Amino acid sequence: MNDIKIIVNSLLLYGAKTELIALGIVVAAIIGLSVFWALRETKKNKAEKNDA
Amino acid sequence: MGGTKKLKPAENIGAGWLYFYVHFVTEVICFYCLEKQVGDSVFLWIFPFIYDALAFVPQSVIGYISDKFPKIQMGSIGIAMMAAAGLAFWLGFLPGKYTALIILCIGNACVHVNGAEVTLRCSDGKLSHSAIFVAGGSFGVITGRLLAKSVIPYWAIIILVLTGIPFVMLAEYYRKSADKSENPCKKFNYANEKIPAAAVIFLTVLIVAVRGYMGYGIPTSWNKTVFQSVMLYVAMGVGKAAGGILADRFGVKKTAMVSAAAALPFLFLGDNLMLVSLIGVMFFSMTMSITLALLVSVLQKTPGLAFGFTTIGLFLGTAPIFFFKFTTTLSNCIVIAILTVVCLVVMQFVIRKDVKAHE
Repeated sequence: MNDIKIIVNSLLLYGAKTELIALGIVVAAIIGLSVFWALRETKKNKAEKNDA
Repeated sequence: MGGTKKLKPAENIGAGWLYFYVHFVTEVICFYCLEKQVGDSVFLWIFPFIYDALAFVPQSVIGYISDKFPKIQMGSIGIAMMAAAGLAFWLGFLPGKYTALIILCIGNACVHVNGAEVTLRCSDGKLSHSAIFVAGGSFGVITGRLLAKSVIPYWAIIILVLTGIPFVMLAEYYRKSADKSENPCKKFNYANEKIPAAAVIFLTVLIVAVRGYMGYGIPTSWNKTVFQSVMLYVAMGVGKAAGGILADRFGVKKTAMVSAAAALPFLFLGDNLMLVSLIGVMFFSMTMSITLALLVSVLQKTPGLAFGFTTIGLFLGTAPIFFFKFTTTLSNCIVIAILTVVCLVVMQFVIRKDVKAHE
Protein backbone atom coordinates (compact mmCIF):
# COMPACT_ATOMS: atom_id res chain seq x y z
CA MET A 1 0.00 0.00 0.00
CA ASN A 2 3.01 2.31 0.35
CA ASP A 3 3.06 2.50 -3.43
CA ILE A 4 -0.35 4.15 -3.57
CA LYS A 5 -0.75 7.76 -2.58
CA ILE A 6 -4.30 8.62 -1.51
CA ILE A 7 -5.10 12.27 -2.09
CA VAL A 8 -8.87 12.34 -1.65
CA ASN A 9 -8.66 13.71 1.91
CA SER A 10 -6.75 16.81 0.90
CA LEU A 11 -9.35 17.53 -1.79
CA LEU A 12 -12.20 17.30 0.70
CA LEU A 13 -10.24 19.26 3.31
CA TYR A 14 -9.93 22.16 0.93
CA GLY A 15 -13.70 22.48 0.85
CA ALA A 16 -14.61 20.75 -2.39
CA LYS A 17 -17.01 18.26 -0.80
CA THR A 18 -20.21 19.98 -2.03
CA GLU A 19 -18.84 20.27 -5.56
CA LEU A 20 -17.86 16.60 -5.61
CA ILE A 21 -21.31 15.44 -4.44
CA ALA A 22 -23.10 17.70 -6.97
CA LEU A 23 -20.79 16.51 -9.72
CA GLY A 24 -21.35 12.87 -8.76
CA ILE A 25 -25.13 13.28 -9.04
CA VAL A 26 -24.89 15.03 -12.44
CA VAL A 27 -22.45 12.46 -13.83
CA ALA A 28 -24.52 9.50 -12.59
CA ALA A 29 -27.71 10.98 -14.07
CA ILE A 30 -26.11 11.60 -17.47
CA ILE A 31 -24.53 8.15 -17.63
CA GLY A 32 -27.85 6.56 -16.66
CA LEU A 33 -29.71 8.48 -19.35
CA SER A 34 -27.06 7.63 -21.97
CA VAL A 35 -27.21 3.93 -21.13
CA PHE A 36 -31.01 4.03 -21.39
CA TRP A 37 -30.84 5.71 -24.83
CA ALA A 38 -28.14 3.34 -26.05
CA LEU A 39 -30.12 0.25 -25.01
CA ARG A 40 -33.23 1.65 -26.70
CA GLU A 41 -31.27 2.34 -29.90
CA THR A 42 -29.65 -1.10 -30.00
CA LYS A 43 -33.05 -2.72 -29.41
CA LYS A 44 -34.53 -0.67 -32.25
CA ASN A 45 -31.63 -1.55 -34.57
CA LYS A 46 -32.02 -5.25 -33.76
CA ALA A 47 -35.76 -5.15 -34.48
CA GLU A 48 -35.13 -3.39 -37.81
CA LYS A 49 -32.49 -5.97 -38.73
CA ASN A 50 -34.87 -8.84 -37.92
CA ASP A 51 -37.65 -7.22 -39.98
CA ALA A 52 -35.31 -6.88 -42.94
CA MET B 1 -26.17 24.69 -49.73
CA GLY B 2 -29.27 23.30 -51.41
CA GLY B 3 -27.28 22.04 -54.38
CA THR B 4 -24.72 20.16 -52.30
CA LYS B 5 -23.40 17.28 -54.39
CA LYS B 6 -22.51 13.83 -53.01
CA LEU B 7 -18.76 13.79 -52.41
CA LYS B 8 -16.48 10.76 -52.64
CA PRO B 9 -15.00 9.45 -49.36
CA ALA B 10 -11.51 10.58 -50.41
CA GLU B 11 -12.80 14.14 -50.94
CA ASN B 12 -14.48 14.07 -47.55
CA ILE B 13 -11.12 13.82 -45.76
CA GLY B 14 -11.25 17.63 -45.86
CA ALA B 15 -13.83 17.48 -43.06
CA GLY B 16 -11.25 15.76 -40.87
CA TRP B 17 -8.67 18.49 -41.49
CA LEU B 18 -11.21 21.28 -40.95
CA TYR B 19 -12.09 19.78 -37.59
CA PHE B 20 -8.43 19.16 -36.82
CA TYR B 21 -8.10 22.95 -36.69
CA VAL B 22 -11.41 23.48 -34.84
CA HIS B 23 -10.41 20.86 -32.27
CA PHE B 24 -7.01 22.52 -31.95
CA VAL B 25 -8.39 26.00 -31.16
CA THR B 26 -10.99 24.45 -28.84
CA GLU B 27 -8.32 22.83 -26.68
CA VAL B 28 -6.15 25.96 -26.86
CA ILE B 29 -8.82 28.16 -25.23
CA CYS B 30 -9.86 25.46 -22.74
CA PHE B 31 -6.34 24.71 -21.49
CA TYR B 32 -5.35 28.39 -21.63
CA CYS B 33 -8.26 29.24 -19.29
CA LEU B 34 -7.66 26.20 -17.06
CA GLU B 35 -3.94 26.87 -16.71
CA LYS B 36 -4.61 30.55 -15.93
CA GLN B 37 -7.07 29.60 -13.18
CA VAL B 38 -5.27 26.61 -11.71
CA GLY B 39 -1.61 27.56 -11.73
CA ASP B 40 0.07 25.65 -8.91
CA SER B 41 -2.70 26.05 -6.34
CA VAL B 42 -3.74 22.85 -4.58
CA PHE B 43 -7.21 24.17 -3.77
CA LEU B 44 -7.99 24.92 -7.39
CA TRP B 45 -7.26 21.34 -8.30
CA ILE B 46 -11.01 20.83 -8.23
CA PHE B 47 -11.17 23.01 -11.38
CA PRO B 48 -9.59 20.40 -13.69
CA PHE B 49 -11.76 17.69 -12.14
CA ILE B 50 -14.96 19.66 -12.81
CA TYR B 51 -13.63 20.40 -16.30
CA ASP B 52 -13.03 16.70 -16.97
CA ALA B 53 -16.51 15.78 -15.73
CA LEU B 54 -18.48 18.51 -17.46
CA ALA B 55 -16.55 18.60 -20.72
CA PHE B 56 -16.48 14.80 -21.19
CA VAL B 57 -19.64 13.30 -19.70
CA PRO B 58 -22.39 15.54 -21.22
CA GLN B 59 -21.12 14.76 -24.73
CA SER B 60 -23.39 11.71 -24.83
CA VAL B 61 -26.50 13.83 -24.14
CA ILE B 62 -25.40 16.61 -26.52
CA GLY B 63 -24.50 13.95 -29.07
CA TYR B 64 -27.92 12.33 -28.85
CA ILE B 65 -29.64 15.74 -29.22
CA SER B 66 -27.40 16.42 -32.24
CA ASP B 67 -28.32 13.02 -33.72
CA LYS B 68 -32.04 13.72 -33.35
CA PHE B 69 -31.95 17.42 -34.31
CA PRO B 70 -29.18 17.72 -36.92
CA LYS B 71 -30.16 21.28 -37.83
CA ILE B 72 -28.86 22.60 -34.50
CA GLN B 73 -25.44 24.12 -35.25
CA MET B 74 -23.61 22.56 -32.29
CA GLY B 75 -20.17 23.58 -33.60
CA SER B 76 -20.92 27.31 -33.87
CA ILE B 77 -22.86 27.30 -30.59
CA GLY B 78 -19.91 25.61 -28.88
CA ILE B 79 -17.39 28.12 -30.21
CA ALA B 80 -19.62 31.06 -29.17
CA MET B 81 -19.94 29.56 -25.66
CA MET B 82 -16.20 29.07 -25.30
CA ALA B 83 -15.52 32.64 -26.48
CA ALA B 84 -18.10 33.91 -23.94
CA ALA B 85 -16.46 31.83 -21.20
CA GLY B 86 -13.03 33.21 -22.15
CA LEU B 87 -14.47 36.73 -21.92
CA ALA B 88 -15.97 35.93 -18.51
CA PHE B 89 -12.66 34.55 -17.21
CA TRP B 90 -10.92 37.68 -18.50
CA LEU B 91 -13.36 40.34 -17.27
CA GLY B 92 -14.93 38.37 -14.40
CA PHE B 93 -18.46 39.58 -15.05
CA LEU B 94 -20.25 36.28 -14.35
CA PRO B 95 -21.42 35.45 -10.80
CA GLY B 96 -20.26 32.26 -9.04
CA LYS B 97 -16.78 30.79 -9.22
CA TYR B 98 -17.75 27.93 -11.54
CA THR B 99 -20.18 29.63 -13.99
CA ALA B 100 -17.56 30.50 -16.63
CA LEU B 101 -15.99 27.05 -16.27
CA ILE B 102 -19.35 25.31 -16.84
CA ILE B 103 -20.00 27.41 -19.98
CA LEU B 104 -16.50 26.58 -21.22
CA CYS B 105 -17.10 22.86 -20.64
CA ILE B 106 -20.46 22.75 -22.42
CA GLY B 107 -19.02 24.75 -25.33
CA ASN B 108 -16.12 22.30 -25.55
CA ALA B 109 -18.56 19.36 -25.51
CA CYS B 110 -20.70 20.88 -28.31
CA VAL B 111 -17.66 21.35 -30.58
CA HIS B 112 -16.40 17.82 -29.93
CA VAL B 113 -19.80 16.30 -30.66
CA ASN B 114 -20.16 18.21 -33.92
CA GLY B 115 -16.65 17.25 -34.97
CA ALA B 116 -17.46 13.60 -34.38
CA GLU B 117 -20.82 13.85 -36.15
CA VAL B 118 -19.31 15.48 -39.24
CA THR B 119 -16.23 13.28 -39.55
CA LEU B 120 -18.07 10.01 -38.85
CA ARG B 121 -20.99 10.74 -41.15
CA CYS B 122 -18.85 11.67 -44.14
CA SER B 123 -16.12 9.07 -43.70
CA ASP B 124 -17.97 6.25 -45.48
CA GLY B 125 -16.90 3.75 -42.83
CA LYS B 126 -13.26 4.87 -42.73
CA LEU B 127 -11.44 5.78 -39.53
CA SER B 128 -8.95 8.34 -40.87
CA HIS B 129 -11.41 11.24 -40.85
CA SER B 130 -12.31 11.03 -37.17
CA ALA B 131 -8.71 10.11 -36.25
CA ILE B 132 -7.42 13.32 -37.86
CA PHE B 133 -10.13 15.31 -36.05
CA VAL B 134 -9.24 13.72 -32.70
CA ALA B 135 -5.49 14.30 -33.22
CA GLY B 136 -5.91 18.09 -33.32
CA GLY B 137 -6.75 18.12 -29.62
CA SER B 138 -3.33 16.95 -28.44
CA PHE B 139 -1.60 19.84 -30.21
CA GLY B 140 -4.18 22.24 -28.75
CA VAL B 141 -3.70 21.04 -25.15
CA ILE B 142 0.03 21.74 -25.07
CA THR B 143 -0.30 25.00 -27.06
CA GLY B 144 -2.97 26.29 -24.63
CA ARG B 145 -0.83 25.40 -21.62
CA LEU B 146 2.23 27.11 -23.05
CA LEU B 147 0.32 30.24 -24.11
CA ALA B 148 -1.12 30.57 -20.60
CA LYS B 149 2.42 30.89 -19.27
CA SER B 150 3.31 33.52 -21.89
CA VAL B 151 2.29 37.17 -22.22
CA ILE B 152 -0.46 36.36 -24.73
CA PRO B 153 -3.65 38.02 -23.39
CA TYR B 154 -7.17 36.56 -23.12
CA TRP B 155 -8.50 38.62 -26.05
CA ALA B 156 -5.99 37.08 -28.46
CA ILE B 157 -7.10 33.57 -27.46
CA ILE B 158 -10.78 34.55 -27.83
CA ILE B 159 -10.08 35.81 -31.37
CA LEU B 160 -8.20 32.59 -32.09
CA VAL B 161 -11.16 30.40 -31.07
CA LEU B 162 -13.54 32.56 -33.14
CA THR B 163 -11.45 31.81 -36.24
CA GLY B 164 -12.85 28.29 -35.92
CA ILE B 165 -16.36 29.40 -37.00
CA PRO B 166 -15.66 29.53 -40.78
CA PHE B 167 -14.06 26.07 -40.51
CA VAL B 168 -17.17 24.73 -38.75
CA MET B 169 -19.41 26.24 -41.43
CA LEU B 170 -17.28 24.79 -44.21
CA ALA B 171 -17.41 21.36 -42.55
CA GLU B 172 -21.22 21.54 -42.59
CA TYR B 173 -20.96 21.35 -46.38
CA TYR B 174 -19.39 17.92 -46.05
CA ARG B 175 -22.01 16.81 -43.52
CA LYS B 176 -24.89 17.90 -45.76
CA SER B 177 -23.33 15.98 -48.62
CA ALA B 178 -22.98 12.85 -46.46
CA ASP B 179 -26.48 13.15 -45.00
CA LYS B 180 -27.94 12.64 -48.49
CA SER B 181 -27.53 8.96 -47.74
CA GLU B 182 -30.19 7.43 -45.45
CA ASN B 183 -27.68 5.97 -42.97
CA PRO B 184 -24.23 7.57 -43.51
CA CYS B 185 -22.57 5.38 -40.85
CA LYS B 186 -23.82 2.04 -42.18
CA LYS B 187 -20.34 1.00 -43.32
CA PHE B 188 -19.08 0.99 -39.74
CA ASN B 189 -19.18 -2.75 -39.13
CA TYR B 190 -16.17 -3.47 -36.99
CA ALA B 191 -17.83 -5.06 -33.96
CA ASN B 192 -18.09 -8.82 -33.54
CA GLU B 193 -21.69 -9.59 -34.51
CA LYS B 194 -21.83 -12.60 -32.19
CA ILE B 195 -21.54 -10.32 -29.15
CA PRO B 196 -24.70 -8.44 -28.08
CA ALA B 197 -24.58 -4.71 -28.84
CA ALA B 198 -24.98 -3.78 -25.16
CA ALA B 199 -21.94 -5.91 -24.28
CA VAL B 200 -19.92 -4.30 -27.09
CA ILE B 201 -20.74 -0.86 -25.67
CA PHE B 202 -19.81 -1.90 -22.13
CA LEU B 203 -16.55 -3.59 -23.13
CA THR B 204 -15.49 -0.78 -25.45
CA VAL B 205 -16.14 1.84 -22.75
CA LEU B 206 -14.03 -0.37 -20.46
CA ILE B 207 -11.15 -0.30 -22.99
CA VAL B 208 -11.41 3.50 -23.28
CA ALA B 209 -11.48 3.88 -19.49
CA VAL B 210 -8.48 1.58 -19.02
CA ARG B 211 -6.51 3.39 -21.73
CA GLY B 212 -7.51 6.75 -20.23
CA TYR B 213 -6.21 5.67 -16.84
CA MET B 214 -3.02 4.28 -18.33
CA GLY B 215 -2.35 7.53 -20.15
CA TYR B 216 -1.64 9.21 -16.84
CA GLY B 217 0.47 6.37 -15.52
CA ILE B 218 2.95 6.17 -18.39
CA PRO B 219 6.43 6.45 -16.87
CA THR B 220 8.02 9.59 -18.34
CA SER B 221 10.90 10.55 -16.04
CA TRP B 222 12.56 12.09 -19.11
CA ASN B 223 9.85 14.74 -19.42
CA LYS B 224 11.44 17.78 -17.75
CA THR B 225 11.62 20.59 -20.31
CA VAL B 226 9.03 22.48 -22.38
CA PHE B 227 10.43 20.96 -25.57
CA GLN B 228 10.04 17.45 -24.15
CA SER B 229 6.43 18.17 -23.10
CA VAL B 230 5.69 19.44 -26.61
CA MET B 231 7.21 16.27 -28.08
CA LEU B 232 5.03 14.12 -25.79
CA TYR B 233 1.83 15.79 -27.00
CA VAL B 234 3.01 15.73 -30.63
CA ALA B 235 3.59 11.96 -30.31
CA MET B 236 0.07 11.55 -28.89
CA GLY B 237 -1.46 13.57 -31.75
CA VAL B 238 0.52 11.75 -34.44
CA GLY B 239 -0.35 8.39 -32.86
CA LYS B 240 -4.07 9.14 -32.78
CA ALA B 241 -4.10 10.17 -36.46
CA ALA B 242 -1.85 7.27 -37.49
CA GLY B 243 -4.14 4.78 -35.72
CA GLY B 244 -7.05 5.66 -38.00
CA ILE B 245 -4.96 5.82 -41.15
CA LEU B 246 -3.25 2.47 -40.45
CA ALA B 247 -6.58 0.84 -39.53
CA ASP B 248 -7.96 1.87 -42.93
CA ARG B 249 -4.84 0.53 -44.62
CA PHE B 250 -4.12 -2.71 -42.74
CA GLY B 251 -7.35 -3.55 -40.93
CA VAL B 252 -8.89 -2.50 -37.64
CA LYS B 253 -8.16 -5.61 -35.56
CA LYS B 254 -4.55 -5.91 -36.68
CA THR B 255 -3.86 -2.25 -35.91
CA ALA B 256 -5.59 -2.39 -32.52
CA MET B 257 -3.83 -5.56 -31.32
CA VAL B 258 -0.37 -4.72 -32.69
CA SER B 259 -0.37 -1.13 -31.42
CA ALA B 260 -1.58 -2.10 -27.93
CA ALA B 261 0.98 -4.91 -27.58
CA ALA B 262 3.86 -2.99 -29.19
CA ALA B 263 3.37 0.02 -26.92
CA LEU B 264 4.29 -1.91 -23.75
CA PRO B 265 8.05 -2.54 -24.19
CA PHE B 266 8.65 0.96 -25.55
CA LEU B 267 6.79 2.55 -22.64
CA PHE B 268 8.62 0.51 -20.00
CA LEU B 269 12.09 0.85 -21.52
CA GLY B 270 11.55 4.52 -22.30
CA ASP B 271 11.19 5.82 -18.76
CA ASN B 272 14.49 7.66 -19.15
CA LEU B 273 14.81 7.60 -22.95
CA MET B 274 12.63 10.14 -24.70
CA LEU B 275 12.74 8.71 -28.24
CA VAL B 276 11.91 5.16 -27.13
CA SER B 277 9.11 6.45 -24.91
CA LEU B 278 7.65 8.60 -27.71
CA ILE B 279 7.40 5.54 -29.96
CA GLY B 280 5.49 3.82 -27.15
CA VAL B 281 3.18 6.81 -26.69
CA MET B 282 2.47 6.83 -30.44
CA PHE B 283 1.52 3.14 -30.42
CA PHE B 284 -0.48 3.65 -27.24
CA SER B 285 -2.55 6.47 -28.78
CA MET B 286 -3.49 4.49 -31.88
CA THR B 287 -6.55 2.75 -30.40
CA MET B 288 -8.47 6.02 -29.92
CA SER B 289 -10.28 6.04 -33.25
CA ILE B 290 -10.71 2.25 -33.21
CA THR B 291 -12.78 2.31 -30.02
CA LEU B 292 -14.91 5.08 -31.52
CA ALA B 293 -15.46 3.01 -34.67
CA LEU B 294 -16.50 0.02 -32.51
CA LEU B 295 -19.16 2.05 -30.72
CA VAL B 296 -20.45 3.54 -33.98
CA SER B 297 -20.70 -0.01 -35.35
CA VAL B 298 -23.43 -0.80 -32.79
CA LEU B 299 -24.96 2.68 -32.70
CA GLN B 300 -24.86 3.47 -36.41
CA LYS B 301 -27.84 5.81 -36.40
CA THR B 302 -26.66 7.80 -33.40
CA PRO B 303 -22.93 8.52 -33.94
CA GLY B 304 -23.12 11.49 -31.57
CA LEU B 305 -24.28 9.23 -28.74
CA ALA B 306 -21.58 6.68 -29.67
CA PHE B 307 -18.91 9.38 -29.46
CA GLY B 308 -20.33 10.42 -26.08
CA PHE B 309 -19.66 6.94 -24.74
CA THR B 310 -15.96 7.24 -25.57
CA THR B 311 -15.76 10.48 -23.59
CA ILE B 312 -17.68 8.91 -20.68
CA GLY B 313 -15.06 6.14 -20.74
CA LEU B 314 -12.27 8.72 -20.76
CA PHE B 315 -13.76 10.46 -17.74
CA LEU B 316 -14.22 7.18 -15.85
CA GLY B 317 -10.61 6.30 -16.64
CA THR B 318 -9.10 9.63 -15.64
CA ALA B 319 -11.27 10.30 -12.55
CA PRO B 320 -9.31 7.91 -10.25
CA ILE B 321 -6.13 9.89 -10.98
CA PHE B 322 -7.59 12.78 -8.98
CA PHE B 323 -7.95 10.60 -5.88
CA PHE B 324 -5.06 8.16 -5.77
CA LYS B 325 -1.90 7.45 -7.66
CA PHE B 326 0.89 4.89 -7.75
CA THR B 327 4.05 6.49 -6.53
CA THR B 328 6.70 4.03 -7.78
CA THR B 329 7.61 3.29 -11.38
CA LEU B 330 7.53 -0.48 -10.75
CA SER B 331 3.95 -0.50 -9.42
CA ASN B 332 2.95 1.75 -12.32
CA CYS B 333 4.51 -0.63 -14.85
CA ILE B 334 2.82 -3.67 -13.29
CA VAL B 335 -0.59 -1.98 -13.44
CA ILE B 336 -0.01 -0.87 -17.04
CA ALA B 337 1.02 -4.41 -18.05
CA ILE B 338 -2.05 -6.00 -16.43
CA LEU B 339 -4.41 -3.42 -17.96
CA THR B 340 -2.86 -3.89 -21.41
CA VAL B 341 -3.47 -7.63 -21.22
CA VAL B 342 -7.10 -6.94 -20.22
CA CYS B 343 -7.46 -4.59 -23.22
CA LEU B 344 -5.92 -7.12 -25.61
CA VAL B 345 -8.25 -9.90 -24.45
CA VAL B 346 -11.34 -7.66 -24.70
CA MET B 347 -10.34 -6.35 -28.15
CA GLN B 348 -9.73 -9.90 -29.38
CA PHE B 349 -13.38 -10.69 -28.63
CA VAL B 350 -15.05 -7.41 -29.47
CA ILE B 351 -13.46 -6.53 -32.83
CA ARG B 352 -14.65 -8.38 -35.90
CA LYS B 353 -12.06 -10.61 -37.55
CA ASP B 354 -9.79 -9.13 -40.24
CA VAL B 355 -12.00 -6.26 -41.24
CA LYS B 356 -10.65 -3.58 -43.47
CA ALA B 357 -12.45 -0.26 -43.81
CA HIS B 358 -14.99 -0.03 -46.65
CA GLU B 359 -14.93 -3.75 -47.27
